[in-house]
Amino acid sequence: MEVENTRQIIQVLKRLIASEQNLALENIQDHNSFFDLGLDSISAVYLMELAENELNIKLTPLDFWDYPTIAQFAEYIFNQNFKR
Amino acid sequence: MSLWSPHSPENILSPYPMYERLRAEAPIYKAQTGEWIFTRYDDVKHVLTNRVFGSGNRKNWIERGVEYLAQKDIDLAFIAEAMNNFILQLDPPSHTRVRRFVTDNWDKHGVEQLIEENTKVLINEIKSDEFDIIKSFAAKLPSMTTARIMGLPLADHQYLHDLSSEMIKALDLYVDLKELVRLNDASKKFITYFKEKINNEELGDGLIKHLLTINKKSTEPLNENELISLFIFLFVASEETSVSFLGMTLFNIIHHDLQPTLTNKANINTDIEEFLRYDSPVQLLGRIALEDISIRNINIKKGDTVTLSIGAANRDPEIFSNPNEIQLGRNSKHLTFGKGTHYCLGDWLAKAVAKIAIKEALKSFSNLQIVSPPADWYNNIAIRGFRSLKVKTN
Repeated sequence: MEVENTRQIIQVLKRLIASEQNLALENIQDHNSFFDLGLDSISAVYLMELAENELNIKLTPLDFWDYPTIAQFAEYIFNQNFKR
Repeated sequence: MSLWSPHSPENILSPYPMYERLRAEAPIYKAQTGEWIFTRYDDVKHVLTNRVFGSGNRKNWIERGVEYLAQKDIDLAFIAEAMNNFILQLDPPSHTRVRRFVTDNWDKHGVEQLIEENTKVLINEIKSDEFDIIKSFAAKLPSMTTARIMGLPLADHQYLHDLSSEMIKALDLYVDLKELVRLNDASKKFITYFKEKINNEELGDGLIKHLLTINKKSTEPLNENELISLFIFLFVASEETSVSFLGMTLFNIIHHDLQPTLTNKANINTDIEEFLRYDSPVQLLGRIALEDISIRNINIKKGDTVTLSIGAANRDPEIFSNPNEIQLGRNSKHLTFGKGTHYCLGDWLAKAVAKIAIKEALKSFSNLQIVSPPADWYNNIAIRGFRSLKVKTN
């Protein structure tokens, strides 16, 4: 997908997490940590794969822990992959 | 930003500055992943020998992962099957039983001669003055040697080497889904391979045949799955670490200009110990707290994961003076092979391979020089090693 800004990545992550964790989209906030949303080192592996495929990027298993909130993770992904 | 960064490219090249900082600022550090990172020698040794800490952290994680991903229609069941009897991941009493089964029945006789023969074969195949000392030597010798020890066809060694390179990921601390899928594929191939060898009786004389005979007579025999997992473990454990150690040591010898000193020595056993300390091939070992415990006033809870940095412990200045220097002849009480009940059962083999390979290589290739820096490093710091090093001789 074409990514112009961090907001779009946030939307993708929220959508994936909502579907994986069976949460209502409106209950997921930018500042929520993955841990707060019930993800752990195992479900994170799957979520990372989904995010990689959706955004056509490459992540390492520790990125998820290094940038533990949706906003931080999205910003990191944007800066690494889409910033011009 | 976290002090713990095991995937960053600069730490892969040299994790030691990161360890130094951790050891100085937070010797028991709570990483972003929630695990505790230990970097002091005394603490690492304490955990290795303390029964409060169990060993099954990766096996447990993999089993839970396989179960979770099965719900997503991703079948990784071969990984769990391949790992079910990895000695490194077992706790007593099953650990004691399986370990004894191997150590009591492993005949070390003739192994040195076998390593010497393999070493000569590989050295004779190198015809050019410029060559890749990993690809054409260090990466081949351990799998050739282990194949012959086990009584497997020598022609299979490259295939088994390639599978081992994937299989070692089973013990990595952090893996992604693509790696898990490749790991599952390697697990399946390994299982099929050993099944065929056992059931078609295609085994030469060696460790596997011997263990199978002993097992048949046992009152408490291992079943076929357990045996196969054990053979996979023995192959992988003796292979990847040995390749890494051999490659890294050859690099250290050339880079630090130690070839003239070592070539003339009759016995390099103590020197091997110092290289084992200086760059341990296994950099990280995992444990899991089986009870609440307090160490250095830090409360570690039951179920917490503990990551022991062997590489950091081996360079602790409290124990080793000028730890970042190679000092041949130093009394290296390193933790490279672990300590306590899980002490590496193949230490003697790793040392024998290194001793013979290094002596022969230094003698056969005079004035070795590095053509281009080590390349194709392992993708995180758990294993310290690389898969390519171009050198020249004259």
